[in-house]
Amino acid sequence: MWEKMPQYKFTAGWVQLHQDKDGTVPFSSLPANAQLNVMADELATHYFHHGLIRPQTQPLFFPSVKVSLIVNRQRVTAQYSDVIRFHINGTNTSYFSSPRTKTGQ
Amino acid sequence: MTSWNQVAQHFMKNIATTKDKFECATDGGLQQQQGTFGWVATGAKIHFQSGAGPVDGDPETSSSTRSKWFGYAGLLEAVLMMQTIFICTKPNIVGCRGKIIHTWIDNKAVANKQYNQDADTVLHCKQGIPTQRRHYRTYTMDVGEDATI
Repeated sequence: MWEKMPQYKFTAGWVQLHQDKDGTVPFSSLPANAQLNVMADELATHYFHHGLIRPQTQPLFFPSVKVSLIVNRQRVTAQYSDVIRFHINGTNTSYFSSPRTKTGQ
Repeated sequence: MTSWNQVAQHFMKNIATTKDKFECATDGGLQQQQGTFGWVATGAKIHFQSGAGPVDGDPETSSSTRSKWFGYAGLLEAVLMMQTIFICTKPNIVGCRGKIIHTWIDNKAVANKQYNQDADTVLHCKQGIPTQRRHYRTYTMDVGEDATI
């Protein structure tokens, strides 16, 4: 999307997470970027507990994406080689701790 | 009750009047194989606008990094949406050219825009959805302390 808004300059910076140490450090004593990080983290956590729309296991196919890998009717977005290897020969890796059905079974 | 036009106007005015950088922060997390994200934008007040939402994806391969990318995408979507509404209602005002929108992220891979997984989300952040196919899911969005949607 930053390509769609060339009038802005989009920059990003890293901030150390959880600088409030789960509320033991006063919020007001934190630097501004840490305060923003704490608020964003709280929003994400709040949405997990109270959000109305639950995450969908099948992600949307974004039109900007040229290629999408679908294995066993599930769109794969990460750990591509591990997923393919698992479905080819059933090799379980540390990534798949829960039972999974191989393709064609 | 505040209309979307007023929200967009307020949002774009804050970007336009910001002196140095329009600062934002995004974050995301993964609990019980369910991802969620949140973002915050600052204006004159530390908490000016914010949003949160779910992270779609295969629970088996999801990660907190994907959630953080979704958070960044959520912020960019919000800026793009506000700008679209604002330009539609105020076509003669340009305003924000050259402004820096700086985002604080607690993940170096996302902050440096270097990540070789979750290409769908990364590419979405970069290119977005073509305008004619654009649609919005209903994410929550708070508007400061003095207005609600």
